[in-house]
Amino acid sequence: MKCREPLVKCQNRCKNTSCDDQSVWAVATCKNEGYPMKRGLQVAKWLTACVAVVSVWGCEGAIERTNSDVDDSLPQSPGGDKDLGMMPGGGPGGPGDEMGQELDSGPTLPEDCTIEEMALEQSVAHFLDTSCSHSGCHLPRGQRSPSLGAADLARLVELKGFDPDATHGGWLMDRIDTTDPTLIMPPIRPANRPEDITMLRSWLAQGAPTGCAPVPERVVAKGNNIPQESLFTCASPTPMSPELKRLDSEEFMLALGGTLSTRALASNPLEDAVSPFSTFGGADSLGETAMGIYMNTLEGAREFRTDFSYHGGGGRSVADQLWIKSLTQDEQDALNCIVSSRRAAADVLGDEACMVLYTQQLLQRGVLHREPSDEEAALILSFLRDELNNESEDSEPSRSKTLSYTTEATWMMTGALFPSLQGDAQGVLSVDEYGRALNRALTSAPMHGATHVNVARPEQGWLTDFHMQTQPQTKEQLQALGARIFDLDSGYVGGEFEASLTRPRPDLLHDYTYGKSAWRLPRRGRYWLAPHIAGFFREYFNYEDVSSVTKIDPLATSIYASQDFGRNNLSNMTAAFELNRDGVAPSRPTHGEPMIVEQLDDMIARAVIKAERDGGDVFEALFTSRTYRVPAVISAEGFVAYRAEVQGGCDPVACNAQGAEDCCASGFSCAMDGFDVSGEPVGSCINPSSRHRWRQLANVYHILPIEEDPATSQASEDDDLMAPQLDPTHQARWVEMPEGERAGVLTHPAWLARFGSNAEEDASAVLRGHWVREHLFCESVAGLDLVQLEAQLPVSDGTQRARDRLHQVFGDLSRPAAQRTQGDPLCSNGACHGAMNTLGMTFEVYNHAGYLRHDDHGLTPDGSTVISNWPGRQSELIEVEDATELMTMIADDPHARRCFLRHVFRYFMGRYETQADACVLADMEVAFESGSLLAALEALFTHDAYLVRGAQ
Amino acid sequence: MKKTNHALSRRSFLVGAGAAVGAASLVGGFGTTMAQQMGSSSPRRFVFVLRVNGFDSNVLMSSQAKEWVGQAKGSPLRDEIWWGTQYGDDRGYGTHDTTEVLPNSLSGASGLNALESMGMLSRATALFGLGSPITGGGHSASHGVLASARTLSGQPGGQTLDDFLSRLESVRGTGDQRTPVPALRVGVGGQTDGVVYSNSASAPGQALPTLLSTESVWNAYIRPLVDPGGVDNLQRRARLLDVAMRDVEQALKLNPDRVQLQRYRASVQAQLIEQDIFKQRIDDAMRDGLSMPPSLEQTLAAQSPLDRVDAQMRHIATSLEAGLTNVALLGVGAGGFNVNFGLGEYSSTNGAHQLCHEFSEGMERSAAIRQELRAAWTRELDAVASLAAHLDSIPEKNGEGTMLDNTVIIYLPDNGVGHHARDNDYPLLMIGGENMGLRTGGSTIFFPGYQAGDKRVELSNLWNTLVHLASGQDTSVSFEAAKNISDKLIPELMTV
Repeated sequence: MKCREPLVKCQNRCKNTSCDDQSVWAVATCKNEGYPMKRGLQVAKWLTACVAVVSVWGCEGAIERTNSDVDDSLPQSPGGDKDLGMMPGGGPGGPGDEMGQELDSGPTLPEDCTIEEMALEQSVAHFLDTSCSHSGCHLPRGQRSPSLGAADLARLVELKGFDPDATHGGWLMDRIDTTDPTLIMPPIRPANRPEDITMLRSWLAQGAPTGCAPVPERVVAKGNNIPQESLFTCASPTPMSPELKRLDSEEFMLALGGTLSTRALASNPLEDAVSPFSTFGGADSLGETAMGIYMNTLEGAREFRTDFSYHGGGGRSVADQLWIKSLTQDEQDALNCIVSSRRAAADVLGDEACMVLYTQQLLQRGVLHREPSDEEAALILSFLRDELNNESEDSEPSRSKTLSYTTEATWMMTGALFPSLQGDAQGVLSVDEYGRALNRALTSAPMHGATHVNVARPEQGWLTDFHMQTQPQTKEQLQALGARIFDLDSGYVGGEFEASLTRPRPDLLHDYTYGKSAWRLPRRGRYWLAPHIAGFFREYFNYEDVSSVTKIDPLATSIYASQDFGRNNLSNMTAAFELNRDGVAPSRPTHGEPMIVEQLDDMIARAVIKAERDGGDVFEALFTSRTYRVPAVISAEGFVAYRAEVQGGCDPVACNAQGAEDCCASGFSCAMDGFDVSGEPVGSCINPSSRHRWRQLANVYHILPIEEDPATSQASEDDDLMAPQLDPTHQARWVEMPEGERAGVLTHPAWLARFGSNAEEDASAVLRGHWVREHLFCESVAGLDLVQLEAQLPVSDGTQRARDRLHQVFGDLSRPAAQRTQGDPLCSNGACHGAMNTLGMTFEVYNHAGYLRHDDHGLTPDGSTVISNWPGRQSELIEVEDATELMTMIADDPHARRCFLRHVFRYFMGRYETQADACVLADMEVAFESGSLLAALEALFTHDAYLVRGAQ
Repeated sequence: MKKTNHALSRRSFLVGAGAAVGAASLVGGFGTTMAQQMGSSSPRRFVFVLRVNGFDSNVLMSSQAKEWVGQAKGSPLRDEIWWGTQYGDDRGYGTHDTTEVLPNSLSGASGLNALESMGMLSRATALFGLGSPITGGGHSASHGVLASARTLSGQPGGQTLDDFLSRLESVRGTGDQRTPVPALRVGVGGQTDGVVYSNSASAPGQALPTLLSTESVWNAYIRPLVDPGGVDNLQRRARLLDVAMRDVEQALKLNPDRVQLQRYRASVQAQLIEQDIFKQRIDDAMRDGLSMPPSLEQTLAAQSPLDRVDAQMRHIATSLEAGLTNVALLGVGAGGFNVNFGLGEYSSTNGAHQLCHEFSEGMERSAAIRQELRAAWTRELDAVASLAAHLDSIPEKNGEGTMLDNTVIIYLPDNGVGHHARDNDYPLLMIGGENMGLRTGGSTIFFPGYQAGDKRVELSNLWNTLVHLASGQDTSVSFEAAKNISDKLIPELMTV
């Protein structure tokens, strides 16, 4: 007998360990997955049926339900463990046993059914579940009617979808068993698999019986598949469940005294790499493998944590003891009773008060950020005592090691790894819990506010401040605290740094390593957002990974490719694009200008802060602001990375023409700077020629170089990092884009490049349209897992626009189906690309790398489209000229605004929203009416449902 | 057997390991029957070298194999064709509907020079035509290739084979023989630090971490074996785990139903058990010596992506030899495949991604680019060969051949065939494992592809076969919809 894969996967969650006759028992005891043999089935019969029973539904269905259960249970149990991994061996001893989960005996096989009949019915239901009911497709997983899930099978027979008396088997079979590309369902495959058709026909031949297999629970839609209207209709307030939120990677690195680039801590396993937002990892635990790596990291970073040389030496600035810096001087002095290595271990061991004080302070201020329980304190005290005893016997006694090991012990505690949001007996969060939650809403940095260098952290000063000075007791007092945190004037969530600060952008201190990268800080904009608010925008707009998308000929179709500026300029302009995008790359020197991702960070921060400060609308500003942060030119003689000499202007076309006479002095060549207001190319004579690229960093914005004063550049190289902030160029890096060229984040080259294809003639419109549909409209497009087509455009002949190539395959999806004369029938039915292409086509005025197109294969760039499926306006045909007009429409669109709030909820709550959150979302929407994101965040974090937890 | 602990360069690692092959292979259990091996006490080991974004399978083809493809297709196999275009048409390796085995046909394959020079071609098999349509291909199918499932939005669709195997008693061992580390997962790529979750999974949605930092891997797995303080460190770790256990027990009193805490406790328990076994392995290593454990200096000296492949392979070799684990996964490109290989004019200044696009574009430089890319993949195969030779130089402790006889090493793409891959062919090289009943013999095997309908053979069938050989289980490890396909074993790869 051969048991199938799902059984194998079930083995790890069920009790069976082998795949032989025992599997009868095993399947029977697998929760909701198998069926006990309550009738006297012959073994041979079972052996025949086992495969079908297990494979078609029992286990696969269960796996899917397991996932759904986890996600769906989040509102009730947001701290529910997603890390339901398996124990080694997959048999007894696995988590199912340890957790004491009761394994029920499963449903009973009806008397009048054979196991084969049950298996066949389950196969049919499985087909529905995996081919029809799917995200982006039919209910209940998708949003399209009719509902075609496994639970609908009996009803579909009643409705003649499956009809054994009909010639072709019913109206569903008409669509399933066909190769007509205009009829086939799912509409993204040429035909369904023969084995599936055979299975369905067999079932129909038996009369399409139902009732032999248990009716599965109805699947609950999640994420984008929940109808948006229902998420904002508050019926009855539902408190959120108590939860534990696991520490994330950034929190871990900063808590242990590192920065986000500390290599010694980087190999921790607390990253959440598979969820839509990094915050979703809070629902995880720590599996066996991850646990091993976690401990490896703790131990591997021991030297980093305890070595003064890492941290500049002196005082108590080793990473392990940073928390001590947050204490008052008196408190610090009191800890000398143990911190001082001069005091013998025996003396410390005899000083119980000293050890108690240290462990209390370590736990409260360094690790837990709350009062430790008696048990927690006793546990660490005991550990400390043991270590001190070991120290006495050690040939090389080291207090530093003792304290380091003790610190490691604290980081093994559940209180450290799983901060709590559980509330008291009435469910009201404690001030410690709430303070920690607010802290995590804003930053990954530890609450104690101390850093690895002695620098003020204005954006974190409040963390200790409000934790230590505010002791609210009631829900109302907590709400007042939350309101204060999200008040812009309080200075916690963001603002605008003064140019006269002693250190530029202190909020980014953790992000940067020292050295040359620090040159970028004073050249950043002075608007700032709390790290997690900035992080939200990076993740919501997904632009952080722009470097991951290789660009072939990034200049293609742009004005920089419109004339021959010489091979050297072409090469340098391409390199300039990559340098502006990547900052530092192998074989290239680092440079002092912020990279394109940081330019967009700054643009967003300015848009948000100005809107909040001036009573504007944040959402509108995000999609319409034309004030971009651009890179300048640091060409000062003496600046190590940019040493280049400029000697007057030149005509980059004439000077670089073949056979042209030298325009520049010997050793100099004519760099392509850009275009003047009349559209004429402008150049400069540069030496050496390889430094052209430094002047071309801002080409992608279609602007001429903005030059930093050479003296300023020199001063910054000489460690006067404030000089660039005081230079007029600092302000000049804010550039208003011409109206009609760009508007907001989605027309910023960073976003466009992130969601552009590799080549200009490829399907950037699909990628961008897909993003808009799923991220701005919170709707789903059917997943690629259903697609069984060649999902690629035909090979380019170099003459066609991307728009034409898309039309060739998909037809012009802006037209009604009957009017589409081109395209592959299977691709042009609009089932998938109808949701994407028309939206994405508006961005065709930009190329794949984010440059404005100038000449699109001999035609004027065209971003026009007609959108027939705008959410909430399905009856309209909406004509859009290009992306800038689309942005204006989105900025004012109620559906998109609600979708934005859903993303805010997801990121800051670390989970998907559900209908149980409707009252919270409705209140956020009310708060957001004025356009204030901070008001929406306040509504979220001060909501009764958040502050007063319900049952677990 | 006392072994020498001395540092070798990458090349000397290769040659040195190869020199030991001749004598050791005589000890091997080549041709051992399945019945014999099921009674064997030798551990079953598996090493997966997952090449992110794939490689040109041309490097695995001898002229004999290329000739066969040409005949099967009716036209010569063109060297310059981008390998994602099926060597010129959609018919893959022809229209045959039976499995074609070309015995002793690996000689001369450009990527197997190292293996050939070591006299080990007979220990390998090159497989072509195994599809995995559920994975989706593309730049990378991530966990999909080892799960026979679709990874969507970074979420694995199922448990991967490495994790599955690592949970088998016949692989991980039992009692004192149980390995302390279920599976070693390491990677290299553009990102040199941190952890990625793109290759392996324990269940749908449950990705497992892969370590990218060579230094971290050395510290975690090699240092305890070679550092006199290794045992002390384990004892200290045990004390930390004791704190964790006491604390989580207390926390569970307050929150008995909290799955996160239950899971944490289970992990602590597992670690506590593993510490004792780890200590035994350290004692064994100290007593018996290890043949060529890499030094920290060697590890740190590996800076280029290809040198880091060597370094991670050495870590795997030592971990297997010391009995720390019996399952290893090396994700080549897991930290980003778009690296500069530095093997010539083009790969020194361009990332692999761009070069892959220009592989067959008919540009003036395309021929040179193909040469450099194939050289890079050959370097990776050299490292695979080094591992094989190294393992073949070490007799099993129970006398049942060499470690390689009980170790299956597989080098395969993670996306199918091509830079923008289709999923209908996962060409791969497989070495060793004869004591489990795996048939090698230096063959090139072409499996029937999609044109053969139900007669096609899929990648999941190989996984089934490996599970069968490792444990005797007849099982399917696939989420592929076509169950009548995905249940099969591959008799051509089995000696019984």
